[in-house]
Amino acid sequence: MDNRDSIKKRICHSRIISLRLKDRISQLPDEILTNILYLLPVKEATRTSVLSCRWKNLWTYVPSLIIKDYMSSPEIELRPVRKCRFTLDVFRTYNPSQELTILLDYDGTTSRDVNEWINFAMENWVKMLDLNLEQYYTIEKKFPVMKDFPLTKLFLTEVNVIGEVLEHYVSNCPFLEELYVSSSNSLVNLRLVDQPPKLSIFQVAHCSNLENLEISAPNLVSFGYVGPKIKNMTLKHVPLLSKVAFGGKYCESIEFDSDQHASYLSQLKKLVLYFTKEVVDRTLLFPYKLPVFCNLKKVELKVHTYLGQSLLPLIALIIASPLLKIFSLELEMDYSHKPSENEKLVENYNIWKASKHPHQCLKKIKWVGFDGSGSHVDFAKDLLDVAVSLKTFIIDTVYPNIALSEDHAEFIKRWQIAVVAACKIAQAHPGINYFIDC
Amino acid sequence: MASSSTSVVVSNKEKENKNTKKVTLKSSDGESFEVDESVAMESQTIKHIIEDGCANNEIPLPNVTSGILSRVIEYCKKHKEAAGESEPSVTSYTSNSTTNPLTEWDTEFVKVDQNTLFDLILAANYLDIKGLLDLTCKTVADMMKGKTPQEIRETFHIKNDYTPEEEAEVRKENQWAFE
Repeated sequence: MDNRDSIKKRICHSRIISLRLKDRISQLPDEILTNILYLLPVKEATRTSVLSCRWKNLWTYVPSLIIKDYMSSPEIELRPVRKCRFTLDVFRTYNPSQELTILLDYDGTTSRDVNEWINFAMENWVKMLDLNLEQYYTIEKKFPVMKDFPLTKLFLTEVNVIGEVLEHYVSNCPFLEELYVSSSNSLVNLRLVDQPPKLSIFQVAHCSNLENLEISAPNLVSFGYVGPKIKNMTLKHVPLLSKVAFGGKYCESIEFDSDQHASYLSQLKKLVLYFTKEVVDRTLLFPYKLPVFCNLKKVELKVHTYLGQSLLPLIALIIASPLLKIFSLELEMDYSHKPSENEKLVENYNIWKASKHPHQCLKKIKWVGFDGSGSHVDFAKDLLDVAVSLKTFIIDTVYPNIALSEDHAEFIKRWQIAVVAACKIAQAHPGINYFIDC
Repeated sequence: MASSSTSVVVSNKEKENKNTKKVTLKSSDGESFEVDESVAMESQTIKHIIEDGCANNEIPLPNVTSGILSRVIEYCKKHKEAAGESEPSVTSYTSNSTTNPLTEWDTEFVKVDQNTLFDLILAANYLDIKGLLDLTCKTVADMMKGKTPQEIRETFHIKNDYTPEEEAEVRKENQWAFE
């Protein structure tokens, strides 16, 4: 009796123990373990090969990039920030995948030539190359490149590259569809003429020394530029261009009716304008003359503005776009800015009476950052005067950064004013579906 | 022309709207959970079931126990609430990057024992909830970081079934990783 009991106890005890100490991680399916391994530094992921037989080759399903520098001793281990890493050293065990992405995060501590490993990496199945080099690194030499890389997307952030070199690289990427260049101080002139042929999205941002940008791209659908004013921006032969985004100080001086932009204006379906903080001192919110955007269906504005600034000039965009369906406005309010005398004079500058320009197509307006102040209410009324066919008006009274920067009581007070004002407007203008988000 | 009716929808994101569609999820151990359809659709698996019209208001989830399912629902609710409506219209090169406001909540959420953690991973995988899968996988990866293979074995109770010769050979093959 006692024996059996004690044996039973021992069995139960050991069963419980083994449950608690079950190796659950090895039971996970391969794809989940691969997910986990790619979050580890390359060497650590590789070291899991000795954990048990199950783990022997798991790490090889996670491609990682290690360049062995045979000239100098420390090899560069590239720590992945996002998706994939690519192994060169253990080439033979590499399992190629269709969608290979390389993200290179380089801290510039060795003298290794970035050019060489970009090209080395490019030789092997790379579809998307995203270079974000935290310390400015210069790609200068025209390194001989292999023809016909499968690269489809190229992101260059904080990589100093001059126009010539960039042109050279992309002309060897016949499949390149998306090109994003950001914060390259050496970029002065860039000419992309019919190369790469499949280029469909191109964005340039914060390249403060850029002077000349010339694009001729038969498949370009979307173009974006954010930054200071540049001497010359020419978009030639862009028959498919339908979406354009401009931001930064460049917005101050766009002359839509100049040669720079005139060629594609009638094609535009979507226009995004991003008036950043640097532009808040301008005297007139919207200083330029507008041509007619005969195909423009959607406008998105993100505007940094101050309390009391008249938003009326923005109506000009609506009037200039007879087929406009959606007008989206996001306001970032600067409550500390005091308008100068010049700005105050302009407040009274009424360009047109909004009600004299009824717009037949505008169906939806979305406004993020409505605060119920005088100029906001006035603008809302102007919008409603213009948009005689309006079906939907979304008013979002929660603006992006305000809750973080102000004290809670102030925020609640402003928010209440905004909601009350929005409801009043809705009541005064029936016949429309209002969505007031608070 | 404009319609003759006006509707004003004032939505308070903190309160639940009375008229939203609900769906019932049934765990493997027979417990039912009623949730907003929009919350349930954080799971791509459930989303497909609903969109294919196979829902019938009650969706059985034979691979998920009630304990885990209730946690998953908690996660989905919290993340659905926090999700903004608008998408950035220009890429991250031109807009300010934002930090995830739920980071703290997420960190607390995954402070669970190993068993629960792995159950959450499997559930997130089965239900195809990317955010939860990423979160839980990252938690496991953090538990592995900085540890030697032996320490990893101890943490996760992995039995080393290599013979000494086999292990030596694997180490040699991948020598560069052990230096």
